[in-house]
Amino acid sequence: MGIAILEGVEKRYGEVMAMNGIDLDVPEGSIYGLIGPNGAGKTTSMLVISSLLARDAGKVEVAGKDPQVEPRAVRKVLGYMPDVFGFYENLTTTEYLDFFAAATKVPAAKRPALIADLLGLVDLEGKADADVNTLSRGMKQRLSLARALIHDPQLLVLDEPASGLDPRARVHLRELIAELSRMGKTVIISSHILSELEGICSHLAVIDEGKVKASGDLNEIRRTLTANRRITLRTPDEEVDEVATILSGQPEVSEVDVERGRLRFVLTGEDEDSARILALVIGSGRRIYDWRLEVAGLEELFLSITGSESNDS
Amino acid sequence: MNPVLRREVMERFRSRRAPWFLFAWTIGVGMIGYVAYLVSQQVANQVLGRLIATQYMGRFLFQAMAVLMMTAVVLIVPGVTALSIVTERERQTLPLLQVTQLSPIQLVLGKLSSSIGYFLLLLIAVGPVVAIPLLFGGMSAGDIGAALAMMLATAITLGSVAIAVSSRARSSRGAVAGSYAIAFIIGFLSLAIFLGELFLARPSDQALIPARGREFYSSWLNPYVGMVDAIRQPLRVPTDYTLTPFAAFDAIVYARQGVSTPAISMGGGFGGQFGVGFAAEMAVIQPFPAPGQDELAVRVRRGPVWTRTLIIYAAITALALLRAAFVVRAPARRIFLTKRRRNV
Repeated sequence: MGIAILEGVEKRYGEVMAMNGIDLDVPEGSIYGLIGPNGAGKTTSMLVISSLLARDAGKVEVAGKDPQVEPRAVRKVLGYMPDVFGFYENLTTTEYLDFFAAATKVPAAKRPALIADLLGLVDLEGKADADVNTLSRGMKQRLSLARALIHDPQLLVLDEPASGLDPRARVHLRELIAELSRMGKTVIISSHILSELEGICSHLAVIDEGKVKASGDLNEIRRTLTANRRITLRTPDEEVDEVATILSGQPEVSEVDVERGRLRFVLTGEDEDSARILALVIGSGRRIYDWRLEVAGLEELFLSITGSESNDS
Repeated sequence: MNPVLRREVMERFRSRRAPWFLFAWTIGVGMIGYVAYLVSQQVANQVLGRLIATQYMGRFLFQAMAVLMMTAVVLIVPGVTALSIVTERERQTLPLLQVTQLSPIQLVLGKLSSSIGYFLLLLIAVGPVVAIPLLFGGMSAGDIGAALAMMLATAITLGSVAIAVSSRARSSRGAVAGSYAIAFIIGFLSLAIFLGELFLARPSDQALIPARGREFYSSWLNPYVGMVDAIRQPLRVPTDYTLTPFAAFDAIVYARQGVSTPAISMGGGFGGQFGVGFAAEMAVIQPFPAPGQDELAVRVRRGPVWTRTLIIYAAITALALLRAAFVVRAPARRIFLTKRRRNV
């Protein structure tokens, strides 16, 4: 049972159907990426999950509660970070966090230690007394993440957290999200820049035009969508032709190609077939320096899911 | 303490604007107080005897300060409060508040109390100037209490209305304009409506103010009339009635009971034209003062205005706060975009 479940959720803004029967099942402890182009319905989905926006139809449950019926109960277990950093003037980072701690009913006695811990977690302990307005964008995003964590929620909803950040800040943020996952938090994170989510998501939903085009475990999606996987291998130059001959004789292998001293081929089988073929080549006395399964990137996955429809339209 | 109130206070008083505004406000009120003192001194020396003059000056200054402070309520409170919710929306902090454990009404009350608190600070800052009339006498502590209570009620009402406007506004400018429009209707336009009521609603064959007085419904809404009525309770007509800053509002308060004041008799000439002087004689229980008596009791035909004003203000406040809380509640049916946000 997922910590956040959406079933057939619909949301319309006038003529625009922002959510057109969206189904999601976010497993506890996962980092769940929502990917899709601008206007796909990612932010609307996050607002509905976060109890900020009422749905028109469908069912939503967050930690077993309906955000529309029991919003305050949902907010106890949920931390929300919007795509923009909302700040107040003339407040220090500590005061900023203290305000939200008070607003989320964190007992006053616990706040100083909690805020110090959070500032340490997001690497802002040196900025405890800095005016929020003087922070860089990356620091503001990290402070915003600390704010979302102030009441120790189980579920974090992060809407485009890396937008506008420089590469270093993005890496920092990614590490932070991975750390939060290790701490047992479930993270729902959206982006239309797919490389941002590369490497951190355990699960994925591809949303386009208000519909989920594919969702679930990222590896499963990869496997399903890329049945024909490409393998690259490196072998001594004098053995390239012989290895190519061995590979060509396998029924699961096609499109064997030699490119700059490397062999590339398409494997239509499973991981077991890959292992069997590798054992076969090595067993024939050939040396393999490198054997690499090319994993489809999120962009490739996204295009394979939505590309054909985009072309049609 | 409401966290919103605490943050608002910190944010407001750390801004550069706050001390400068407080400074300008104190100087401004001091100068107006000094001008009022000079005017009262001039009138008192020329028209009245010295002993009475001192009391008259006290009354004049108190009334001038009361009118000034009520005008400040109408002019400052909407401006201070109008930005409260729309600014949260513009700087995109409203969703952050909505996902906390704060209820919409807590959020709205935090905003309101911060604005009212700021106005009370302004009032305290000019306390010494406003208290000067006490040195002269001529008014009671009850008068001052009644004036302050009506000012507070007006401030809460106008603040609540401004928060309701702010919660619906799409821009700061729209929130300020809307809040001031309603404040002007309550504070000033209600007086104009009163004049319309006075002339348009009267039967063609009767005096503007009949001998038994007449109810002026528009005056119920007006904070000045409510305040003057509260101060004047129990209703008495001073035997030495001289024009003071309350004169225009006295005219309404007394005319309801069928009593004319110099303001009615002189104002617009309709006193003579429609025989309001006659009405005065009918309404005063004891037409001729005894020696040394400085007030005459009034036969009260209608209940006080200030209670009606407070009931109306309580209703407006409740409706405005509930409306604001309804608009800022989440989950909402739609995303409320401000003009600034739409441009991003």
